[in-house]
Amino acid sequence: MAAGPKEWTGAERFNRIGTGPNILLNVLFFLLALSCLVPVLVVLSTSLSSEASIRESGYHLIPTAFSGDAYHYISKQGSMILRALAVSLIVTVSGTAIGIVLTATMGYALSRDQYKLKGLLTWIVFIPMVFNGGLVSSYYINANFLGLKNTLWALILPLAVSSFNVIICKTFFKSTIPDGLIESAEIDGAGQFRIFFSIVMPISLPLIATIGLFLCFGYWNDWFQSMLYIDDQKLYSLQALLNSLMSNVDALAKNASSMGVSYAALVATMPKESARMAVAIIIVVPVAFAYPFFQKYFISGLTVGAVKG
Amino acid sequence: MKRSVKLSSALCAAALLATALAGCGSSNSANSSNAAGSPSGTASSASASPAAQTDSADIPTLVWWTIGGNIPANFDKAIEKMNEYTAQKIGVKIDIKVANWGEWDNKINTIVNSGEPFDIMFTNSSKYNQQVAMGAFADITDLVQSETPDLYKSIPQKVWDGAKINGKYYAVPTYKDSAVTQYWVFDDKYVQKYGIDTGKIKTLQDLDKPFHDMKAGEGKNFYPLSLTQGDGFNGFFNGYDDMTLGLPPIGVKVDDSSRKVVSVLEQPDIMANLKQLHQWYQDGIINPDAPTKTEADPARPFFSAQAFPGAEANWEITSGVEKYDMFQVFGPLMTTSTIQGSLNAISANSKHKEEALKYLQLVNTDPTLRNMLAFGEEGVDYEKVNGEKLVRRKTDTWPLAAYTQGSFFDLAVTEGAPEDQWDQVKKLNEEATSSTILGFAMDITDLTTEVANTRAVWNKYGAELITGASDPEKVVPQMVKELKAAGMDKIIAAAQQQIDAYFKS
Amino acid sequence: MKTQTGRRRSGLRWRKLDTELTLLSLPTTVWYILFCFLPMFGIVIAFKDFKIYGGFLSNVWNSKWIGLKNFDFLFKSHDAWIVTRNTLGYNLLFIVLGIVVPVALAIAIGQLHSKRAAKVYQTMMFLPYFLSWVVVSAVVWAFLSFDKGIVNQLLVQMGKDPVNWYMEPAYWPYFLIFMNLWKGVGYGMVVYLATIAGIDGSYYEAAVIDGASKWQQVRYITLPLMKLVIVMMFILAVGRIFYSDFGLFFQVPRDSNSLYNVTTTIDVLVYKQLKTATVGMASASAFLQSALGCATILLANWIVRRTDPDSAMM
Repeated sequence: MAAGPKEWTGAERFNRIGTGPNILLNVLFFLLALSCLVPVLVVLSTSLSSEASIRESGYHLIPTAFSGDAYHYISKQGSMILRALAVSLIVTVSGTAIGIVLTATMGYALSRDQYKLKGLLTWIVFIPMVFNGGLVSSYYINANFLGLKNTLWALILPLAVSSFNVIICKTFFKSTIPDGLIESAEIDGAGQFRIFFSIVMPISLPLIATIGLFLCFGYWNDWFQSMLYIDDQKLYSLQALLNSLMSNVDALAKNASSMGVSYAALVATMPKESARMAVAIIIVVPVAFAYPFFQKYFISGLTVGAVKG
Repeated sequence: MKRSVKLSSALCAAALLATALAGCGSSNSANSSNAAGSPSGTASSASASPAAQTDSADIPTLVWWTIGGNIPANFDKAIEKMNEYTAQKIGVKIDIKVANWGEWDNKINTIVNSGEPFDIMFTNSSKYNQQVAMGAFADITDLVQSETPDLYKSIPQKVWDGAKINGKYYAVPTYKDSAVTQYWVFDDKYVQKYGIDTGKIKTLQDLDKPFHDMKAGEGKNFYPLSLTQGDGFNGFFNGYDDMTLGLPPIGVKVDDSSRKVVSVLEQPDIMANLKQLHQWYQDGIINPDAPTKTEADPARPFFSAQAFPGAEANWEITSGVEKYDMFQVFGPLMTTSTIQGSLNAISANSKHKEEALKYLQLVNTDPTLRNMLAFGEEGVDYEKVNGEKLVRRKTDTWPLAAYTQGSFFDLAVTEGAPEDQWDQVKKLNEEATSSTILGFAMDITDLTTEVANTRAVWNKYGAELITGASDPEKVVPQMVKELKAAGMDKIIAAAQQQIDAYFKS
Repeated sequence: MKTQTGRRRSGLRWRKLDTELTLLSLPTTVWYILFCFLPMFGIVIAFKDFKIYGGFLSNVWNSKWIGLKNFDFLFKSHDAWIVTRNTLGYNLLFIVLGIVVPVALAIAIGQLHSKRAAKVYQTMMFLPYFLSWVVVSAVVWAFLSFDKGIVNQLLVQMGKDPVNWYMEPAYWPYFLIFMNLWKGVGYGMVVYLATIAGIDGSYYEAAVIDGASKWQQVRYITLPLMKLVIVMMFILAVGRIFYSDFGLFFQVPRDSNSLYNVTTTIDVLVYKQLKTATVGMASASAFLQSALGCATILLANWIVRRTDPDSAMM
């Protein structure tokens, strides 16, 4: 039941809102969508503007003077960026897969009322939501104790599970899986593993899509893990690389006075405003293309009246 | 049923993929981490084996954390070349780990706090005091004099004094433009157009007429004095030594022989200057968005900066301005803070303290190593024009900054700058007057709360004050009130006590 | 239709079901132990005068215990009240708006006649989520910068004077609330869309046959069936009421002094003060926020449990 019906059918035809309200809603959403799109367009436009034109005439929706300089600068770092892109892809895909498995299994176990350890596990899941040991001790455990420093695992594992996602799973399972379905399977002698993988998961595609979405984009956007655990810049994720490009300029600008003359020479080699915006575009574009893939799994949410199954 | 099999096998496949490729990642890094070696592993003997034997089992590889930019593709190769050279000369190799400009703050804190092993670390006045108080660095006072006397002698006593904490040295200060010399710089175009006599300009007030002339001539949207949030008017507080606290409101006047710690903002000279800035802000001399502007415009009609002779050549290239007129207005002055612009410390837990010092000694005395460290791979990033004295840079991708590494005085001059550039800098250093509290760094272990809270007050009002946006007559009293409530008086009293005790001997 | 609470029915015997569920959730439990519970000993740093003695464990072990001294700076801060007010005030608004708006939009978007249009709108509304706050702050600068910003350019073209936006506190509460919604609404909608997707269509068919209006359908079918999810999101949001989005409150206003009173939250204050302060103090403030957050979330959960036991999180 991956995609919902493309057009209204059957009983839904009688259930539609009137034309008037439809127009109103369309206008509303159009404006909202525009307000979300316009900033992205500004970023795009800045990335395509010549540095001089930004300095002289400021920012515009449409560049006053086109220039491919920013993208040229980035392509000079070409191999670094391609490599970082590969790292990001690997980390995102495997992280999302691992995360879905870990999250959904726990969510399912928590959703079963008869489970003896439900209370204990609920606390185990809950406590990290409010308390954590702090950056330094996490660093110590991950880097020194578990030996994850400078490996891709440091980018994947710490982010695989979030209690927020586990609770979403649990709530979803509890509210939408009919008890009868599970009970009849149990009566038929099916074990929990079988029930989980063969019955519950296939009908929970909207949930998987949602969690998958959150995980996927959590991994894609993350730069912090790279900054902390990766010394070898060859293993940086794309976001980490781009973030370091941008934050470097900021940091230099703010510490100008303590560096004196050396500062001017250093800053001259930094990417300019347009390059930084180009970097942001490179991050957003793949994601914007990937999103519709997930969207079709809960598109039926856009159709009130879809039949499950 | 089928769908679920597909689903689970897809997930399994992805997980396998992850394992395989993560393995790739770690084998890549395994190579570099083998090269790094951990100080606790290899040769534990006190002195490194000198000269010819290149048995790599005996040559320790030290870890050096520094600050810099993004790592280019030829970084490893360049380091390898350096290691060949140093292994042969002093039997030590290096593994340089770079924390980017933007992440240095956080990353170094984490490295130090988590006890991660390292041998040498770059630091500066923003962290040095605190890191020493935490016990992160080794006391090298005796070691540097006995094991590396050349290093010790290559740096003047005055500069060593800047690295003193409680009378001991915890790092090797970088001998460079260690004194602050403040220059004011005009774009020559305006000097010609408005007949500005730069020889006559000595104080902030002397700039008033030139600025107004420029504003009147160039129009409403022209700002003669373009300032930024972090910097304000660069050098504004030069007259007061901040005791490495980094808090402008508290300081000692640099020529005050009684070494009295005062509330800087309330001093008449500072107040008069603040009022001048505010007047300029209201007259449109200063750009209205200065308090939130983070980056300076590249080509400014006027700016103030710390520099040394020959710097204007550099600026002219990077900003595209044809000619800059720069003139000295302050200094050269040495304070503990100016010296602490760059230091290299040895870890308290390093197993190779002497080797580390020997490496630093080589950096500070050997031009070949010095140039490789500063410029990159010879032949690729730079080429020698006149031995090790003059070089031409070929790329701009080398991430390490010369000022973070070691002395400027065994460093080559880059083509385009005056050939005697470093001699001129040395002259400035030698002519420099010292602040009356040079050698003193404040111990804030019992004052962490007060320092944190006074810093918060300064952050709250500082940017608008130093860019002239707020009215000092209203804001300074308000600030002082809040500073006192945050514990400023307690800090001043403690500082005075420490200074008196320190200088009694 | 729901069965009774399982416990009573199954008795206190350990059943095969329990073993299987334990095995099923075991990898995740291991994950929690390794990545969440092991590092928790770090909390003790908040109460110690942290110094370096060697490796991390010996650092923690040997550092002196100083009780609550690390918390001092928070309580003595002049602006503690303003900053707490800002944090709580903004968060209350964010929580309410952060539920009402995405829920309303999720329901509304399903009513559009054209599914294709709905998909396009939703995709676009998701875009802001991907821009990091650093980029967003640059975009805001592109709009609000005094001389180069788009807004001021428009104003000047219309013959008005440019406004120094970053120095006018009055507008900023609205900006910040708008920005927070703008960035999060597409993302928030996803959860609710997925929930709506799980609602059995036959409910709506029955309602239509009975002659229910759209409004009634929403009120009696859609919302009640979303209740569990909405309450859960609410409780989770309430648990974070002492935290704030650092990127929104620090990077977007660009650290402007004039905006201090309306944009500084607890996280921002601590960050600014602690740039060179001790790790003990940083731990202390994190601990305080955690403890307060824990108390609030437990309180919220308890309140919900009293009114509607099935909706409670625990």
